[in-house]
Amino acid sequence: MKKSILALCALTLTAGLVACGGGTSTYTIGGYVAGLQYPGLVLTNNLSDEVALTPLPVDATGAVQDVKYQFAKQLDYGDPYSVTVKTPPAHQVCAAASDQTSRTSDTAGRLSVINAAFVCGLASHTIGGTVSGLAADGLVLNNGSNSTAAIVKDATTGAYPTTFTFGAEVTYKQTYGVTVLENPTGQTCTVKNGAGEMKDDPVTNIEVTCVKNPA
Amino acid sequence: MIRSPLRAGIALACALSLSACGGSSGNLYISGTAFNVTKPGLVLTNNGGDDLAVDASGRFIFAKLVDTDAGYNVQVKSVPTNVEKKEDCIVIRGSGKAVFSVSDIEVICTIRSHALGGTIIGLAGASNLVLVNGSDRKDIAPAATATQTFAMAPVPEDSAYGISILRQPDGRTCTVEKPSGKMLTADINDIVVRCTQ
Repeated sequence: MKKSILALCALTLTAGLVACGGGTSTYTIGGYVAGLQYPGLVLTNNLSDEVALTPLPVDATGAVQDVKYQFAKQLDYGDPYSVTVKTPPAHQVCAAASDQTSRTSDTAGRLSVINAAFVCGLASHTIGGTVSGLAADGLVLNNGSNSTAAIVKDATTGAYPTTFTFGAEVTYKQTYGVTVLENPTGQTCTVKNGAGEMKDDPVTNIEVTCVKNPA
Repeated sequence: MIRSPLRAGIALACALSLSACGGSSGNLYISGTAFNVTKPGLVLTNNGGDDLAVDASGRFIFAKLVDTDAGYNVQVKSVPTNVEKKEDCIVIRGSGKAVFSVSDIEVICTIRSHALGGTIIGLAGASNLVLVNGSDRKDIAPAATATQTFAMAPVPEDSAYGISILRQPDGRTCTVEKPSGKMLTADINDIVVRCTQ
């Protein structure tokens, strides 16, 4: 009787140890990337291992598919990992996902499955340019129905600005078209280079010229 | 005999734990965020009362606190003039039983939209004219007629609009007359795009 209990104890202990990962188990570092639409994304683990990801074709409904990835190098129990974006994809920015099952850095083995998830979205940039001849209050520019920008004089110097930037950014490949919504008092302003399609850099070539109204 | 003080203790503990669970009145906030509120007029109610006017910031917190485990039910009482009807402000996660303070209620309003368009004169069959109203892009297919109409996507009431030429048509130059303004309560169909050789 006693002997068999001891044996059982020993067996349980051994099994328990194995379950705790005392053996040679290794861990694969991987996860998924949501929203990936353009090529070029390279993720790195601990700045030593790299994996390049390419977008999947969109599904039947046109939705962007999650891309699963794994790093080649495996980690031992207890090794720290940290997955970061080494190179972003073209036209997009990626960040760690807010997925509760995701941890982009942790210790291998603390969770049974390692999921380092990222989410990518299209990059956006500001639009703006120069203002010349502005000498009165009241100028309001608009980017269609998307946003407006009131061009006001500097609060401390009292000088009217010679450059402007819209507060709202424009997403990659979206169009913009800047027009004069409200002219300054006694002046009329015109816009040159007002329309375009957003590329990979901020737009700074919009020219607003204001002249005094004829008496 | 020995057990009776113990029993009293248990009863006391029970009573204490019950009161900790919110026997007392009103200590939980009911709050959330409303979207697309651009002018005054949105009024919300909780449990049919406690009227609350929401401003353009969209943040709302009802004045009356509710008891733990009490029900809350947020509804739309009235909407701003640029929202067509009460049903156009949808309440998300608006009702339930309050266990903690509630802060994730969302009210999403849809502002009434109006048509934006006009007439193109002198395009004369030329291809590739592209008009934009900000991010709204319209590629214009030339019509056989001397003048043709165009329509951009509808614009929400009280929003600005401004039509620009993203691309001039082949061999012609177009300008937009009175390209910008503010969408009021009626459709705008009188924007003129004039093209010359």
